[in-house]
Amino acid sequence: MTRFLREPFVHFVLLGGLLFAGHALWQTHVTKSDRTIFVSPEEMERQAQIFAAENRRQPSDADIEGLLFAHIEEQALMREAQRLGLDEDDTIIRRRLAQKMRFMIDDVSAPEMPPRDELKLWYENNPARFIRPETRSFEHIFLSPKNRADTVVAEAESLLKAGIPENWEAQGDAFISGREFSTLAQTAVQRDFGTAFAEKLFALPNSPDWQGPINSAFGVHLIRLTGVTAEYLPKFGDIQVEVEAVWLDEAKRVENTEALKKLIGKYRVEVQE
Amino acid sequence: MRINWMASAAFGVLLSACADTAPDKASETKNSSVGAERPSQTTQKTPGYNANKNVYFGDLHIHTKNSFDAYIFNVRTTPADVYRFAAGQPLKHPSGFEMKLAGPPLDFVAATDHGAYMGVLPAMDNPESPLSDHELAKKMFGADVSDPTAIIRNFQTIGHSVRTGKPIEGLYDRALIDRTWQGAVQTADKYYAPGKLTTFAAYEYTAVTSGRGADGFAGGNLHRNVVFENSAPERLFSVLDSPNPEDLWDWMDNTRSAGHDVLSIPHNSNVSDGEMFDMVTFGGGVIDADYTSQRLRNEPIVEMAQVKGTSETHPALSPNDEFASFEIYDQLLASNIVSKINGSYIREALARGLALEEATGTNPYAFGLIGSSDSHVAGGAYDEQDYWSKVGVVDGTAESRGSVPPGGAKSWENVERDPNAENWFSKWSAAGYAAVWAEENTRTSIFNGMRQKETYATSGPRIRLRFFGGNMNADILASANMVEQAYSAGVPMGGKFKTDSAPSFLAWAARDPRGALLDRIQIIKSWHTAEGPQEAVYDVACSGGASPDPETRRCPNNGASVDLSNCAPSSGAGDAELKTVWTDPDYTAGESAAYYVRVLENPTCRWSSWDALNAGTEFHPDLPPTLKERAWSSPIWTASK
Repeated sequence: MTRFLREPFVHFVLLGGLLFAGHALWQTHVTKSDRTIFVSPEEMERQAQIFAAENRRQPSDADIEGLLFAHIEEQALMREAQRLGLDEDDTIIRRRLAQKMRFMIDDVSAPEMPPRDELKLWYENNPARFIRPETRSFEHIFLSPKNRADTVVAEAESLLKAGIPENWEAQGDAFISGREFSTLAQTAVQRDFGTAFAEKLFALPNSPDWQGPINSAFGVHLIRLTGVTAEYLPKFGDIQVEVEAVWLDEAKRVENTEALKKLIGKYRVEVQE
Repeated sequence: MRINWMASAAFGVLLSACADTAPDKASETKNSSVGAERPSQTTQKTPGYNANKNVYFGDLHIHTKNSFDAYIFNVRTTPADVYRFAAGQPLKHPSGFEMKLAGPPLDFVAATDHGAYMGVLPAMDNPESPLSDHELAKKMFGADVSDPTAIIRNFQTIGHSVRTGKPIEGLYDRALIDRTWQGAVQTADKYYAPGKLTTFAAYEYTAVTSGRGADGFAGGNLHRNVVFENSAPERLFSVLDSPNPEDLWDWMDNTRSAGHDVLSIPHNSNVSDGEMFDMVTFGGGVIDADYTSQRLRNEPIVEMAQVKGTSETHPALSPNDEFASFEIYDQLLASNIVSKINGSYIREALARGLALEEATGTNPYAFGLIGSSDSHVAGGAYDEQDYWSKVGVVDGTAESRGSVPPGGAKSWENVERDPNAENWFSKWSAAGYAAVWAEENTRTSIFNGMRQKETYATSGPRIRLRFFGGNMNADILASANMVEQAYSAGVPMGGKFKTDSAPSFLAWAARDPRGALLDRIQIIKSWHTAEGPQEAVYDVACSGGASPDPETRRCPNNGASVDLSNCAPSSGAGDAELKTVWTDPDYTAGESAAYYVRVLENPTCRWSSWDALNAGTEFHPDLPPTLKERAWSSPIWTASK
């Protein structure tokens, strides 16, 4: 029992469990026997089994007595709390009940996938969900501010002005994520270089010449764009799996909202001024 | 040893059948196993291919509703949700809020549900399944059951079965587990997008010993995640087949012979009660050459940072390492018994491995390092600033995980603290990442990276880290093709080289553009003498242009701090990038050693501080308000020629 009380689900038990259970028990036991705590042989047998499963031995008489006391104490406290109406104005119980109901609504089985044609039509009507963003491929020369202090930008500018030599790979410093980057969206550039760099890179004109310098979270870079692909909508056949997943999410969301609406519809709502 | 011989016999038949029809190595992605239809593994390179390797960030430890201990906490998300979340889509937490990656999508990911009773709880809760007629199902999910206390108590019967490795009559439905597993394999195949998102078929082998504590319930965590490269067998091997990890390795060896390459990744050695990196076998026997080579073959990497704490080292093992006390969690699973320290942490294990190598010829603990989440809600909480812990409804709110005072209180004075929040959840850590250096984002390339241990772990930020050892010359640092030179002059992290003089290393780290600036790079050396495991911690690169003190081997404090009124970092101190070449000043001729890098960020707010800040409450007085996030490289081993 004591080990059980240390288990990670004790929160579940305390917040949701005891109090929520109280509500159910209120109807089954309390109403018909206001001031009697019934302890049936089945209940004690159940408690003993739990004890045995947890301790891997049968409970002794002293253990049985302890279980009985704990059970009676719990019942008495819970019943008294209910008698005083403590459950009725308790935020935790209210939230827990609402949450439980929400789970039941959410748990409805997955909506059935529509036939391919219908799905394709839906995809055509919702292109924004599937559009691929612009990507850029580029090479860069990195100049670390380390050991260059305030001259790093000037150095990059003069390197560019003098013309980048054929062996551009040997210029500047090594960059930890590499020198060449292929078909990256702006968000992907952000992950290696930071936000400011990504924005500036995607603002560079589409030219085969070396450009810059632009700053990153690490230092200064000269850039040569090697490819720019405008945003586009992939063909349905190529991304059917993705369309199915997005459709399913959407259908579930709609279904849940509908179920919730229906539920609210069962009530007359009065908002007092 | 207790093993299900019926199941083993069945495997034997299955595996030999596979072997007969298995095509040759060159086209091994097609075989008679589950999910053979898969994007082809041709020699065609994906966009972003880099012969000098890119770093990919992923998570190889995530649970869904198919795990018995997730479903019971209201988790209803599926393996498909794991892959959607990894790709950047939002999911719903069992407590009702939305979870979404704050940073970029993951590059690789695996759903790793517990193999034992995989998919059984959802079936017990499904009136159309015969399992719902089982006595235990009625007690847990029956229409008349409304008392969660009873539900959870009955659920513990399943937990107990997993702990003992003894199946429950009528619930251990092998056919259902097989179907669930095959479904998981197919889902991983379906979401595999070479060049974009690599998924692996995987599951968790959930072995735990018992016998500790007054009731004998607590014991050492010997959990492993079993990860398949390109294809997987139709049946998994769980703790219900055998609770002895050595039997798992036998099964993996057979599975590999049948064409399914596989590795297993131990995790939470920190709560293994000293058993994960023991000096004896599971049964207490002598570790011999067969054991060491089998272990090394099957377990090339270890998950050493996740929600349930870090396993690098413990302050008691490393009294001279002032950064050792980092997200330490040391209570045996679901108990308040403190795990034995010796044998539970990787730094000491590296030294133990060298001792075992002397005795057997192979180092069983020559492993690389990764981090992961161990999320049970299909999505990892990697960001301190956006944290949802691990389990489900029990730790889904700040109050339930003990970062804000209970009952809506604003202060921690005179409140009654919840013991589970206090002892467990509040000490848990935001999720870690697995980082792998690989040519491209494909199953083959990333799996190779893991086999070669060119991997590292982070505590959450995407710090970039390179580490090379060998004949490193300081001139290399100024060279634009430093990486090419380093590869040709030495070995990368995870490698080994022989030397008769003091070894030199290149250590190079860059910040996560979304994270804090870097404080320093350290190199940690682990070796073994007659007196036992030895260690030394060297600061090798300091921020702000400072140099380590030659006496103390430490960088000066760079002065970075955090404003606790809003968690904003101080400005000025810290570097975006640090790199250095370092030669071991204390090298002794003839020694063998393991060297690994630890990179430290400037301090930032811990998740518990963000929770309190968002709720407008006092910070928990006993939790560290800030932490120094970090990355740990796989070691490089040296030996005399």
